Amino acid sequence: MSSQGQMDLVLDRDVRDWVLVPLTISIFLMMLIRQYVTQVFLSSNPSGGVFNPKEFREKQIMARAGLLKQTCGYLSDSAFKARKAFFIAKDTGAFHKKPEQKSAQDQLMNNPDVMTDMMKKNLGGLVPQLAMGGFVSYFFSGFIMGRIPFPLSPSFRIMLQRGVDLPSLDVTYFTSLSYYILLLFGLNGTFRLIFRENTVDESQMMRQQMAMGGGGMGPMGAPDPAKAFEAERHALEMLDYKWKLDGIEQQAAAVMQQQLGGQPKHQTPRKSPRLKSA
Amino acid sequence: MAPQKPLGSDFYLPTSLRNNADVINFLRTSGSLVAGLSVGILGVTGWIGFLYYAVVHALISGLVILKAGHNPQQYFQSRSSLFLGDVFSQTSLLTFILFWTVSHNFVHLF
Repeated sequence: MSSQGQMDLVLDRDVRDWVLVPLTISIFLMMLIRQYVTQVFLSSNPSGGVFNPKEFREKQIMARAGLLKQTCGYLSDSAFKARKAFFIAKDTGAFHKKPEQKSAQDQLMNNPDVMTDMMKKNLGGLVPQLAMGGFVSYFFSGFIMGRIPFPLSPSFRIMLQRGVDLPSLDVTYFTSLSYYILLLFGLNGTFRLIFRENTVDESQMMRQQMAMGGGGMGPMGAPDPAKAFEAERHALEMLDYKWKLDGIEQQAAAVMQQQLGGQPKHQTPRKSPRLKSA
Repeated sequence: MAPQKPLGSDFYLPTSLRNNADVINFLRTSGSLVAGLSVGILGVTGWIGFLYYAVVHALISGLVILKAGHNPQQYFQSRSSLFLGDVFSQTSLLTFILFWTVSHNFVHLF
């Protein structure tokens, strides 16, 4: 066989019938089982924490501040000032209080349950994966199973021909172990078609673990609430208030005239941009 | 000084935006799946297969715009995310490659 890869291998049909088909089906079914087990596990243990009204209140305050930042142009001047005072007035403002919510770091230190939960979740993802890998390498190791239908550079050899050490083999042939990995990642999209947002995402989990190992941020990626309060306060202080409903009455009248199909009447040039506030 | 754009045209509901993104994602993934299967069954090999992938996704973009009534700004915040957002994403590309490979192997190789 030449290393140019011009010569094609003849693969036995039995390899397809006894390796390719059963391997595909078994991996698909195992992924299905894992999906359902995870769903059951998650639904039996919703959120896990104790409901704390103060923490909930703080989250709502953050959400309201965000909303105010986004849509302040539609509030009248006094209404805007009142809201801003509620958030950032000295001593009494909501963002000057010390946040009740603990940072994720503190939670980890003080509450061993959080740690156990996280461990369980990680293991729950890891164990089936190891089991499947073991299953594949036990029953189907060492087969050359098929061919990728497009050319690749030789550097993909490690990725595609895991378990078979033949440097003269054309790169596009792949082995059973690599096929398993390809299925593991490639079927993700298909599962998302079926289960929509409930899908257990393999690669996302891996990325999360990676980020955790890197460990600049706190675990779970949640920012420190005290810092978040501070940042929100500064953002509100810098907020530039601009009234957006200037001349809204004339605009509304023009739109209504247009809708009614009548001639626009003579408009009295009034200058009262403020709506009546309730 | 009337504003150029109608009032409230820059408001987007986050839930609706997410829903729209989900719909697009669903379309892209299923499009990749069907494209991969058909390309594999037809026996296409080489880089031409990716041309089919591009064609299918261009078709999907066109259909979405048609469905949105030539005014996708009403449903999506940015045009580029509608056209390119999921085309080069890991999920849809991997789905395409996987189904291409599998159907090609099942039908042609052995």
